[in-house]
Amino acid sequence: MIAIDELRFAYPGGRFELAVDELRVATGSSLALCGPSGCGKTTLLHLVAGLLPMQAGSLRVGERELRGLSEGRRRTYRRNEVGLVFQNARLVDYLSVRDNILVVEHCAGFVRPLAEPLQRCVALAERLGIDHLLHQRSDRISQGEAQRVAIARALLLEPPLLLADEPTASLDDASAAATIDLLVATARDLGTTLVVATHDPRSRDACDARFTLPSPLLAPHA
Amino acid sequence: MKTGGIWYLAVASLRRHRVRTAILVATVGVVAGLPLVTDATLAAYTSAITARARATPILIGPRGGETDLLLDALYLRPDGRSFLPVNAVTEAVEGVDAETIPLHVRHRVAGYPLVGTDLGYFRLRGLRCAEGHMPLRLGDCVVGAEVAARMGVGAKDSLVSDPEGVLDVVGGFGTRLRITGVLAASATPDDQAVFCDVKTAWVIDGIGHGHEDVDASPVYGDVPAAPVDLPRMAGVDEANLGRFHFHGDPSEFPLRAAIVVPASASEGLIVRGRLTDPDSMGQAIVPVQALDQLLDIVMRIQGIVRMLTSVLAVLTTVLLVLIGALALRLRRVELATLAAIGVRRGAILGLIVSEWTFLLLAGGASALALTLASRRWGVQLLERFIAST
Amino acid sequence: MRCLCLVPLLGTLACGPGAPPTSPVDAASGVHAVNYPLQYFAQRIAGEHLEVRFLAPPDVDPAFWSPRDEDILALQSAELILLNGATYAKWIDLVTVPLERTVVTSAAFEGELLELPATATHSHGESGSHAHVGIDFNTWLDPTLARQQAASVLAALVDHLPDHAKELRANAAALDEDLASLDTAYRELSAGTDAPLLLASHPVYGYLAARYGWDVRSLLWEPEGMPSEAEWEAFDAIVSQHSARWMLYEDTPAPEIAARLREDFGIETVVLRPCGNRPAEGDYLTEMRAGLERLRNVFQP
Repeated sequence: MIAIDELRFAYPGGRFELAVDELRVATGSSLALCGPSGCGKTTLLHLVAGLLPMQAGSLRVGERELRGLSEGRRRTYRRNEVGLVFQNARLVDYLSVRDNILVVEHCAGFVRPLAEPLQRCVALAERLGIDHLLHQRSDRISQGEAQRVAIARALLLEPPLLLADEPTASLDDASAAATIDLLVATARDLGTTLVVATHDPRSRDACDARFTLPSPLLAPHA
Repeated sequence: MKTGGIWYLAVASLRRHRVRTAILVATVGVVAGLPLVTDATLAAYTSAITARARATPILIGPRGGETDLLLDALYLRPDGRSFLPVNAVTEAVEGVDAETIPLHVRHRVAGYPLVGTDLGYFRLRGLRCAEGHMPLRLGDCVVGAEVAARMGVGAKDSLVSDPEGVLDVVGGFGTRLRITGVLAASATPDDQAVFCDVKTAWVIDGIGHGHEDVDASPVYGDVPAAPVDLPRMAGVDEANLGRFHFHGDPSEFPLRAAIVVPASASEGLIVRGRLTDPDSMGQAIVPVQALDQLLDIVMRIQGIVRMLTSVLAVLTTVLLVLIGALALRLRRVELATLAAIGVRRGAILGLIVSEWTFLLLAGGASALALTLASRRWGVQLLERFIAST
Repeated sequence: MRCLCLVPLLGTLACGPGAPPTSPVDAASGVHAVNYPLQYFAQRIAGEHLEVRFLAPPDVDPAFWSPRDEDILALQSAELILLNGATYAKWIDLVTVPLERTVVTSAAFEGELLELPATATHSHGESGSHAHVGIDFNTWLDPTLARQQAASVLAALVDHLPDHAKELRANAAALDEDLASLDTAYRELSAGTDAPLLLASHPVYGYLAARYGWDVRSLLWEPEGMPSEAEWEAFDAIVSQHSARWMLYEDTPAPEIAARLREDFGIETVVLRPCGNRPAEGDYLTEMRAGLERLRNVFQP
């Protein structure tokens, strides 16, 4: 599903350089992306998501080579093929839980028919155990619940790839465990390839495989 | 819910921040509405007073301020303190083919002007009774539509004229007036007035009454000279009507003004010519001409309001841009999230633009609503304001 | 204390001569007169073109009548209100009527109006007390003044019904002739004697007396009520200075009054109705003529 070769990335003006010589993630499997803080887990995730442009090397998701894609195309790719879960749920505070899950559909036009996406939304909510929250204001639910809403939002368009960036970091232990189990189980059930950037041991253990990034390499020049 | 979309999100955002939304809509509404309201109101006022002035060919009043005479006689302000005797009017119109309508605007009833006149006034102003009938005898009155509505009175009720104030030598009594009718609304100051026969007004002046022996001199000028021992509260009714009589020379009885409707322009010129003599007690004004002064004030108000509102509009625009920028900063995370999960740049822009479009539209709608409301009430408010100055 | 009539004054206030023509609404209605003689004049002049109304009920002297609310309402919608003037119908000052549609028919001889001799207030029974003070309003008893009043009515009606002016003038000419004939009859009657001494039960014959040179002393006696002894004593005093042989009555006096007048004073009574209200029989003209006939006895040389 994901094939990375000789990837190099540095932020302009930054001293940090990310280097991944080779990484393969099989379709439908889950991978825990590990490593100490600042080692580039999030950067790698963002490269895979197409949030950052490729600089050197090769990164293929399915048959698509991300290197050289324009920002617009990366956006389309992201919308159609990638689901994203952030460290904080980052829900839209003025929308209900349901509308947060549906937000990408909402944003597809000024006026959109929602009957079919709504079915998917309800199904996802049931699967994630948040169907009783659909009409709640999104700023009135717990962080654990919010994170499950974020997972539902990421999965609404049934992307082949789900990327989660420290999804349990801001949760207490109990809900962190529940959330990571739910995330991995749901991805598995849907046949979605899952990459979780994490330094939480429980998350590492829950995933099929693990890839550890080395401590940050500092480039010789600032 | 079967449909959604960017507009749905925009509305949801506006609804969630409803206080902010309300303030912004109100701000836009007021700033956009103010010039519309003033223009509409002043235009309506101008045409209303012009119409009333046009329907009042000539006004005869005591010498003195033209604008005061105009406002007192056209807008029925009972505050004037200068009057002219009946004969000043009769002499001016003697032998002239003209209808003359007396206006005795001096007393009040429950704060509303009490206008002593004759049936010709109602005909001239196109006033008819929505309920009951015109005054029949001394002590009768008809009330304007608004007076009736506000006081909750109708035909067969009665009102008491307001005592003239602390200097009232009568000792704080009013005269009881029988309401014989309620005038149909006319959207003019007539709605806010009470009308009686001019003779009834003279009764309230203390010139006519049901008492036998008191000698009262006619009053026009400063001090009401009414007999002190009159049981004036009793009013006038069928039983004592026959005992009523007037003291003094009726040609000396006071009027605030008289409306003259000449049969032709040349007849009007005769009347006006007679009153050009500086020694004559009265003056004749042509309301349409005298109105120019007033309209001048109106134009000046309009100019000031326009200037203020344009300054206000600039400031508001700057303020709105600032608020918009601040709101965008507050929403940076939200917008970044949307971008991250693949929402197109155009859609995000569409969301922001939609929100502001709705805000501005709502503001525009409230400006329009204000303008429509001002059509209904603006002129009345303005008239009340002008009448109170 | 001056108590003046407001109507002539306010009338001029309301309109100048040749007032705005009254609107040509249903001209067949809405002409009112304040007494029967004016109603008679106006009806004769108008002929069949309109009905002239007269609001006071038949059993009341319109001179001492006041309109009820419904009467005033009728007057407010009147096209023309014919007033007698000369302080007749004082209520006009106390009601609200369209002054520009009133016509004071005695305006032409305003300066010739007579003051009543000073007398006191007295009672007329049901209609309450009233005073005979001020101006004598019985102008229409004098045919000469009646002719002027009729002329004033004609002018008003011609204004009101301009399309029928010719016919109205013809009718008015006939009326004028009748009134002139009354005048002639009075003149002939009075020609034989000089200033006959007469008594009158009420001060209503002032204009006749002035016109034809009669010497009339007026009392305040009612035809139906026997005067008190005090009044008889006063009468005796008057008769001792004013040795009249005839006493004019507005209506047939009670027989006992007539008998006592005849037996105690040798005074005969003669009825000359002022005709303020519609007579029981006939009309203004027949009533005036009948009165003239009865007067022939008085003026027999």
